[in-house]
Amino acid sequence: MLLEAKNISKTYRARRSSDTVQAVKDATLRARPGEFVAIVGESGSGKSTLARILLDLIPASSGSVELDGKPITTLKRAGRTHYRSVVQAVLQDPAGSLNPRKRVERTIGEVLRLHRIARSTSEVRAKVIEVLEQVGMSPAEPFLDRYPHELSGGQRQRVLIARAIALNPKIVVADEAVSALDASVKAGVLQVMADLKERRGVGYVFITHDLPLVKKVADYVYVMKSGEIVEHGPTESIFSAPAHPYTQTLLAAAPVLRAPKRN
Amino acid sequence: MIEPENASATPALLEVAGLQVFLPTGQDSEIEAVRHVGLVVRDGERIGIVGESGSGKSVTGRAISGLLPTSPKVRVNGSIRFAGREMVGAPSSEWDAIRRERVGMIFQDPLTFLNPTMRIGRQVAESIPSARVDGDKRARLAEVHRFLSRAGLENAEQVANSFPHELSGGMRQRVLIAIAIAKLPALILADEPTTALDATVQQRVLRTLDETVAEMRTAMILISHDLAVVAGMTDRVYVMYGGRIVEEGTTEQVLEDPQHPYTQALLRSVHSITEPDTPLYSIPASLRRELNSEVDRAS
Repeated sequence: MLLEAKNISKTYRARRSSDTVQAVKDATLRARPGEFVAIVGESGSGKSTLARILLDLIPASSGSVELDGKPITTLKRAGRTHYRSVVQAVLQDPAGSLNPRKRVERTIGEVLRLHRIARSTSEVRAKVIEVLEQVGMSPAEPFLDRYPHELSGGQRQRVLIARAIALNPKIVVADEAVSALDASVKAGVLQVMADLKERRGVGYVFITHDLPLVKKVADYVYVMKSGEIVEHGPTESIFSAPAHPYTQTLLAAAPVLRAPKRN
Repeated sequence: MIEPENASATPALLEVAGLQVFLPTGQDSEIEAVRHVGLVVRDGERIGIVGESGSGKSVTGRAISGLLPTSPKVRVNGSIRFAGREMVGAPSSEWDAIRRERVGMIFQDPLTFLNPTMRIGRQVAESIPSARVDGDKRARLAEVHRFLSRAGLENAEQVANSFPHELSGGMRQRVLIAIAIAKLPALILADEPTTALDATVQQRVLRTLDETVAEMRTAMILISHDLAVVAGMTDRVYVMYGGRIVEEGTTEQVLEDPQHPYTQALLRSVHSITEPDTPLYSIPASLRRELNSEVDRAS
């Protein structure tokens, strides 16, 4: 399977004038199951807009998103539903992506029913437990009856990942999915994601501004600036020999833990 | 650094001892969010408080600035002394005076701090003590521009005429720095001042904060979950877990030779792009369980 964004552009019209803003300019990228692709860049670089286009949440102004060579805009209803199960989203704000009035079991169980992966109550429950344990919430039973506010930030993010993988996706598009978490919790969630890549061949389009993480987990990196992909390549070469000045700036600004040498 | 211990009888700028903060969690339940915290800040000294979310670092910061929610269910025990003056139990007018004259505050989200309907210039002006400009409008305006420039905002006049929503995140954070320093405070309390910013912007804003605080010889408490931020900006650091300070020392000591297992684990979980290819590290659940019982036992 191959997910491709081909020459994607997205133009927004400014609210009070005829000016236009090009949020994404002619971006092309590829993602495959079993591969960890990262998009890095600062806020306003267009990386989240590109993610939304990949997820079929907003249309591109030009260019196309293609699954195995087939543009998703040409898909019929059943095709789109299929697309939305093989390409799953994990978004930044776990509190905002979870319904505060639904317990964990229902949050995950609903999508299982919707996509007809499990039907009976006992089937659904078994599957919910299975995916929760896959994201490291084990034993899973005590979490089933919890509401989002009864979970920690890391746990909420894991529930979102569990919900995404419950549909057996081939690719997960994760937009700043761990940015709000503490360093250690972040590492824990990423270990789960990397593990799912190894064990189940899940691929990722991982959007972040956290370069140390990218260096640890990504196979391939796209660097975005002002809507354009200015550089892309295997993770090693991006970090060892960044070609674009912007990539060099980003690397120079990456936080390094250094003991103070003052005075 | 020479420790001015017993150097004179003048009290420290800020002395916190046995601080406990209880926050309500439900009808009849509460948690001890801050447990017997003690810390000292001397004139011109920069200290860091680091910890993960839920460690009690921000609640400590709020207690120190008298900004805990005013509810009979929020209980504070212990002692917070500004230049020897006890503030626990002090009337809110005294806290107002402290915040007006002595403590400049910088928070993570400038939009909740800034008034959306008021131009930036006026908000900075409000922070300048009227005695200093003698009610002279023009002098006040000159001061506003001076502090905005000092906070690294190049086009001070234009910024002064702007509303908060017209500025970028980095500029808003600089406005908070300008407001904080305009009162020539003895202490700046910065709680996650750059967490919401991009790395390149964060770097520049931190440098500005670093330089201004150094120039003005202001003491600073920098609260952050980000060890890298605290490392570059502080002389001493306190590490918090579960409402308690688990380790303190000079920033160098704590980073180079951490004693507490939690500090060691926390440092290990911070990755950088320059380190050799070590695997991702997250603090094991078993260590957290041990820590939880340790902080509970100590109560």
